[in-house]
Amino acid sequence: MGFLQKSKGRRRKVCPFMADPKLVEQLDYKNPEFLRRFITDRGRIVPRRISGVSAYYQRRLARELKRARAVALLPYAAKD
Amino acid sequence: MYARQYETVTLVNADSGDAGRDKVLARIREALEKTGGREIRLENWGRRKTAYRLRRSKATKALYLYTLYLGTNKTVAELERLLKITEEAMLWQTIILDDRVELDAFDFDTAESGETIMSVKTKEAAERDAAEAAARAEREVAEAAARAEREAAEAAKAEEAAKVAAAEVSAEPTEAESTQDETEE
Repeated sequence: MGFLQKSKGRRRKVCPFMADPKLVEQLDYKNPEFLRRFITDRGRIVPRRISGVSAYYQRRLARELKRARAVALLPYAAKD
Repeated sequence: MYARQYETVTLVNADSGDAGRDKVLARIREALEKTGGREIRLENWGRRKTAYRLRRSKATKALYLYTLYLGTNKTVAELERLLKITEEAMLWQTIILDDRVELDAFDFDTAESGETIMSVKTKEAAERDAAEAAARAEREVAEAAARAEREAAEAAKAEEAAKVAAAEVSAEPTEAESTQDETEE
C-alpha cells in the first residue's frame, strides 16, 4: 500500500483511476479483492487526501465499497 | 415495451445445502414468472466466508447466488417479498443497472454470455484448487511408487543376503562332513 506511506518529497498524487482507465472496470462491488486496496486493515475507507483518488472516483469507490459491505463481501469498520 | 435491468445477490444459508439453494432459486424464478420478468443469467459464486457475522442468522459462511434479470419494480418487490418468507435466504441486495431497456431490442445472447468479475475469480480459484489437488495426488502417487521401488530393492537385497547366507550355511556342513569323514577314516 504505497499510497499510505508519507512521501518525503512533495510528489503530486495522481488518481489511480485517471492514470489507468483499466482500473475503472475493476471498480465494482463484485470485486472485493480489488476494493480492499482502498480500505484500511480495520475496514475504514481510505480518505482521498491519502490515496489521491479524484473526487469523482472517490464517490464511485465509496458507493461500491458500501455495496460490498452490505452483502458481507467486505467488513464494516471494526469496533475498537 | 420497456423494462429495467436488475441484479440481485442472495446469501443462502450454507448449512441448508443443495435443498436450500434450489428453494431460493425456485423463489427467484417464481417472482420472475409472476411479474413477467426475464432471467438473463444466473451465477453461483459458491460458499464463501462472510466478512462479518450476519445479523439474526449469526452465520459466518454463506452460499452466494447472483441473478441478472429484466423486470419492473413489481418484480423486485415480489422477489424480495418471497425471499423474506424463505428461511434459507439470509441476506440479499438488488441493484438497478439500467432503468430503461427496450425488451425487443435487448441483446440476450451477449448479456447471457457475460460474466461478473466475481464469477471469473471464483472459477479461477476453483481451478487453482483442483490443479493443486491434482499435483498433490500426483506427488503422492510418485512418492508411493518410489517407496514401493525402494522397498522392492530392499527386499531383493535382503533376499540376496539370505541366499548368500544360506549358501554359506549349506557350504559349511559339507566341509564339516568332509572333515568328519576324514576323521572317521
